[in-house]
Amino acid sequence: MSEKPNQQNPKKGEPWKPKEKFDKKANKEKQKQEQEQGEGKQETNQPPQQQNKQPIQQQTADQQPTQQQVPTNDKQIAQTNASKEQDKRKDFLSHLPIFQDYTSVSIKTVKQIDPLTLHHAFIELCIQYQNGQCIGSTHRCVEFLNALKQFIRDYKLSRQSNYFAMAFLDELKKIFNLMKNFRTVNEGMSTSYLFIRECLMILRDTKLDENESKIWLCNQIDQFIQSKIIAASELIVKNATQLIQEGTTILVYARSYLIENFIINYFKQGKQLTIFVVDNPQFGEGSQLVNRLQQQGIPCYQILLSHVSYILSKVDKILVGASSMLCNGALVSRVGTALLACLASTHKIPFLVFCESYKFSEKSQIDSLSWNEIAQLEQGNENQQYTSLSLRYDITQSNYINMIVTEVGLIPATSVKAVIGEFKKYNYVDAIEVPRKEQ
Amino acid sequence: MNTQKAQPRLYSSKESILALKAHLSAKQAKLPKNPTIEDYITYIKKLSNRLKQGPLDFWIPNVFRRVIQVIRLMSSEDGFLPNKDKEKNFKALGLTIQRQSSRSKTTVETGFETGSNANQQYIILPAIEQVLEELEAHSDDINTFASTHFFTNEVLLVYEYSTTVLNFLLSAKKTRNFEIIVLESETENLGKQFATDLGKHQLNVTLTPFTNAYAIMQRVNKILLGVDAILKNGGLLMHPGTYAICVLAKQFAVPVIVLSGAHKLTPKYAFDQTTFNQLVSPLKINPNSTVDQMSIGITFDYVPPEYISLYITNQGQYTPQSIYQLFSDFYNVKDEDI
Repeated sequence: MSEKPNQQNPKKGEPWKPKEKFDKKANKEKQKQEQEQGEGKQETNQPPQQQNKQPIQQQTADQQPTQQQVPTNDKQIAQTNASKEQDKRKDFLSHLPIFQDYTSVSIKTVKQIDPLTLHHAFIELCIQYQNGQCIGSTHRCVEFLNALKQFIRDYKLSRQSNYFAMAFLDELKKIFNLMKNFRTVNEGMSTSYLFIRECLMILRDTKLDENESKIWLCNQIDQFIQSKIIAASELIVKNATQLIQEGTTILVYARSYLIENFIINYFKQGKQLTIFVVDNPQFGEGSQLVNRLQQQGIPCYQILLSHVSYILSKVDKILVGASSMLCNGALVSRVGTALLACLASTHKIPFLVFCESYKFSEKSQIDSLSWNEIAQLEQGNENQQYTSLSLRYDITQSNYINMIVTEVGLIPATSVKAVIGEFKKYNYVDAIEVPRKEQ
Repeated sequence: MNTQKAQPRLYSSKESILALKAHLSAKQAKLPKNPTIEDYITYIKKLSNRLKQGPLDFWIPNVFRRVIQVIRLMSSEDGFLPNKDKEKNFKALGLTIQRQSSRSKTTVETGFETGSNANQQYIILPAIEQVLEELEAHSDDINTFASTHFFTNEVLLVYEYSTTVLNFLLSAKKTRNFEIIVLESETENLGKQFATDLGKHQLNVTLTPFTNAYAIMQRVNKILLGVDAILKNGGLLMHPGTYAICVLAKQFAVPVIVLSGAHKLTPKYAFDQTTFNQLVSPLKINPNSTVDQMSIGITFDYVPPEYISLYITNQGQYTPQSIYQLFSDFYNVKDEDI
């Protein structure tokens, strides 16, 4: 968890415009410089600013119409040229959200307009999301919770309200609404949101003062990460080690935090596996996994998704990570997983999914196109006579999935609903400890 | 992934015919002084072995087989046997083939004694010209079927670059309105090139990476594929990735149409992915691969005939169950070991 490889993804074609290296000191210096510039701008921009406050705070899923209505927006001016193409709606995918390509400058101008809008920790996080430096459901969720803790520490109650819990609840909603501008909120983040809301409900009933509430809340978030992510991962690895015998050939797609841990753990125990890593050059996740394994000294084979047919006869099991598991037993995962699942079922190869329980969702979805996220990872030419399309997620139906490995055990895909029902009784964590004033 | 460097190009079908022409007209051609048809045929077979660039080169042997078959047919027409009556009777067909070859020897000996050039002039060169014409016109013949298989506002899926498919779509565009989705493979930029070429002709084109194939498939009405080789059992050797697409198509009950000229017919059999295949250099797939983290890349994908709905060739439309008939018309059984 703490070893975040800060690597640039190998990208196909041109790099981002522009690339932001995540360097806190440099960013803070830039912030100061831009603030000084921005103060000069602010006086001239006050009339359109008031117009802008409303679209920002009202934003839900339709970002397109609001931005088109305010053409003289500072945001619009600072956008890159490629955003014009992103505003075009695609024929059968016009219902899907398209996220604007924000540069740090444009985000800072948003901040100038309303300095209380977004804390700098979240801005840095959102840039990371867009750059592709922070991808993967677990990684995103943990980074989000870390940013949230930083926000809690810096948060100061205005003098009007004395109740930390209710004020913070409003702030939390605002943060989520703003984050949705950059990328969709994944299932893990929604679960953590519900969990924090439960904590705030409990806080509201007790009478702690501000500092103590903050400390308690940060502790609860740490406990969430510890029990739902770190401890869950250890249990999952233990369960999976029983399933997979020594010397089997496994096929892994893209990069999953759980599968990475599992492989490293397996080799540390002294056992051997033959590993095929199917790479995803669009997101670069497969190469990241290979680099990680290389650091640990684990040999593996790399292969592309189109060449997979060649080795399918030699593979014993296929392991895949998850972004979330849906109520109807479908798996939401990196695009391309469904293709692998279909091939696996034709060749009768067991298809295993590794998923923690906090990613279980109450939604249901049948096909990949009714809800998805469009990934704009390449800057196309404005003159190109074709439209490019690339999705981020994929729905794999429950009949392709043989087993899900979770920390509550090995369950079939159809039992997801039952597990969710169990968790609802316990507020998503076993029991939230009520804070006492003496602590 | 970085784009691959160009692999050493195999002779295309057209180039191999021109090479044959050049070899035959060369003064150092190792032919006996008064070459018979049989001499020419053996010479062509030896030449094919020499020019062939490896066991996975199908194009040169295919083209040379076709030339030999046309030579046989042309030389038997000059004989005294009327062929048309015999051809109606299937049983006699086998006999006529044998008789034709023996007749051809006698006709050559009795009819053309003036010199070796006569044979070349009247039989060999016209045969080569005919095969060349067939090759050049194959696209036009395929395009006659262009609009018979599409309805309005269809969504078609194509994969990587294929000139045959490109010509087919351009000719179908005149009568039908459709939308095209181009799947691009991860390594080469052929998909992008195909999309730009299609887009230049004002077609509605969407470019998608290969990983999105499952998500897109539910929207697709038909799949059009170009092929590298058609095997005698109806199986296909194609660009890597087409097997996955065909499996998905079967799941979603999307018909798969294969477009190819008849010069891609290869009278061989394959059973799995490894029969006709070759691993490419790991560095071409991923420049960072090492001995411990080796990249695997393949040249062909074998698609069994069960996944295909229709073959459209310049000799007609066939199903996987009936495409073997085309082989017996197009090639001679004797030449299958080239």
